[in-house]
Amino acid sequence: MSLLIVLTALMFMVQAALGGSILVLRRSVMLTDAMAHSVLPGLVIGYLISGSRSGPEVLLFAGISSFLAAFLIEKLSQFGGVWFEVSTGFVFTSLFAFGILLVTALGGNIDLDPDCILYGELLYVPFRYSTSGTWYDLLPIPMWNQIWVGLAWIWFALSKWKQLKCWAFDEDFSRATQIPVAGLRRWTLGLTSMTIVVGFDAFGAILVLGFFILPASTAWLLAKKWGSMLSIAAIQGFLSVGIGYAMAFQFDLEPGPCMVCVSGLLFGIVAVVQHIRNPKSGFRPTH
Amino acid sequence: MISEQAIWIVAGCMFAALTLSIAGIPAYLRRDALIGDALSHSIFPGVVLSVWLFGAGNSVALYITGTGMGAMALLLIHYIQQKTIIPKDGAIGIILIVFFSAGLLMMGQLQRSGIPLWGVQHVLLGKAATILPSDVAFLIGLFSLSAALFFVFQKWIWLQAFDPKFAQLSGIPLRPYSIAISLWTAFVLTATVHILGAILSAAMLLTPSAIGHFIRPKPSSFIRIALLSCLISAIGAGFVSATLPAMSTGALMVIMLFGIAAPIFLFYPKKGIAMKSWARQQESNRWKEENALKFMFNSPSSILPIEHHKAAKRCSKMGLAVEAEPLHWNLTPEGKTKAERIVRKHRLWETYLHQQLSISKDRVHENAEWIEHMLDDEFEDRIAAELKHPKLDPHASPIPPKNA
Repeated sequence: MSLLIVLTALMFMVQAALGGSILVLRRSVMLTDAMAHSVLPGLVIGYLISGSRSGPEVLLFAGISSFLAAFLIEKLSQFGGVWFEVSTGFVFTSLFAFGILLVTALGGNIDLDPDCILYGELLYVPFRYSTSGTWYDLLPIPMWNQIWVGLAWIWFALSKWKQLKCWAFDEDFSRATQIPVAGLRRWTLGLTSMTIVVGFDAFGAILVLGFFILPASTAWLLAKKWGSMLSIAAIQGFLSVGIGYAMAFQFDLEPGPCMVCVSGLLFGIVAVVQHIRNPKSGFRPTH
Repeated sequence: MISEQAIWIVAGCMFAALTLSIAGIPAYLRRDALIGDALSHSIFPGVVLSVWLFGAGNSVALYITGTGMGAMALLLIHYIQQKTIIPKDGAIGIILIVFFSAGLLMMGQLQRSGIPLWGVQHVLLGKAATILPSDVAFLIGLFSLSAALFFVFQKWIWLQAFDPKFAQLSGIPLRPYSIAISLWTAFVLTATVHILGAILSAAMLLTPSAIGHFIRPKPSSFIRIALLSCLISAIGAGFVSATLPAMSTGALMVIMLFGIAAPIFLFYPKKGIAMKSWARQQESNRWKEENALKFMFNSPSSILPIEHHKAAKRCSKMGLAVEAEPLHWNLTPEGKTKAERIVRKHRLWETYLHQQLSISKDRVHENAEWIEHMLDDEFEDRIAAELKHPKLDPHASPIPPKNA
């Protein structure tokens, strides 16, 4: 039972380490925050169409609305001359408000409980099997979702390894050497929205966001190479899931927020230790 | 008939939104647009803490813990930015998510131990329906106070927004003011977050300033526009929610603001995205039409190449060219005049580059291909006068004379 939970979480960690590392290095990590909030209208529309809270339609619409958010944010700042942060804040809050409006307009007819969106249904992962009578019934549905999205990430990362590495660290150089930066960005954001959506379904918003930001930031403090950055991010993720889950079990806490807090604590420890050992390590030329 | 409660709700939302949009202006000008998002999430543990320690409904305790948590979050964001290689957006993301999950952890504990959580959930999604007349009085007071503070401390707000280096050089201590402004923002958010909810409060901090700044970058008029759009959205939302009481007033307000902002971002003259792309399209069409006319003028009897077809069709609509037989186009008299002007500008410029700037003959054509579309009539006359009205260009082609 808990093995399945932990395995699903580990599968997620690989995606989050990859996507998080790219977005943190590209200084676009608040985009994941925006995309995660913008899922709401998609969730409601998907729920209205399918009548269930975690059917494929829900995942589809949630994915579309979060990708739409990223698209609008980029276009508004690119063509409208609005600062990137401003367009991020404007787009996601508007989409979120639209979601809330849908929820309240439908009154009591909708069973979208904010707790579920925040925490997800981690503990129900081992109980959600499909009933098609084929090999698809062997593993729980959230696990299958994680496997498909994880494979998509791995395929993307392996086929574009060098270009990704180059783009993550130096966008201007990548443009100059004709690496298709716009395409890479679109792919990254598309896969990120898929990860967010399937992650939402299994773990809830908090965990998804936390694991996009925290492990990759910790890895940025420690790593000097792309490969080591990815592996440190993944290891930090594994550690926080393990410790957080154990602590939640021991002290009877909410597992999701507990894992995020552990991850944040690990980041804090690394930052402080690094600062004490080498007080000048953080200073860098301004961009 | 609008109920009395509905009026209180609308008034409360309006003053909360106005207060927030004033508080958002200094942060916006410092380009800290996402700080509202970070603050509204990080005061959440403060709210839970005050309910845990002092019980629900103790507003003084709530303001102290909420503001304290917000201040701590800002301090940590600053610290991470200063002392590590993580840039600002990363620091904001880290603090936002860690503080918010700490709040959720505490909330889970409270739920287990059976302490009533009245008010805590409202931080997440907001609950305007519980506004009482006393709340409205408080919000009016808060709004007046923030407006007064804003006007008293205007000078320092502009200074830290636009030229902190200058302030430093002239020995004006900005630090206390930036800290005070941040604390005030955190306090205002703590005091109003239960009305609109965390995310919608962040929208109210940011969007009015964004609208104002898009229309008028100049601070004094930008504030007026920001407050006006905030007011319009609040009144509009009030009317809708009076007729449809099930809808959340806060969300309606943010949607109304979106309804104001989106057309402005798209269609505002000269700045809107659609207007800019329309103007670009017009310009590029003009270039293509002029190129098509030039081709017809230079090689009258040859077949018009495929790249000029669309432009030629537009020219025929304007009465500048006619398709005499398939693929053979002739200029009308007006078209001929226009084409002569373009060719004249092209060849005059080539002559100018060659004679006055001593650029070799084979290099002048490319540049003239651009300039012919852009050269002003006045400049054209001046160049012609400067060159003493030449008859031939460097390639020995005739320069068409200028006709009325």
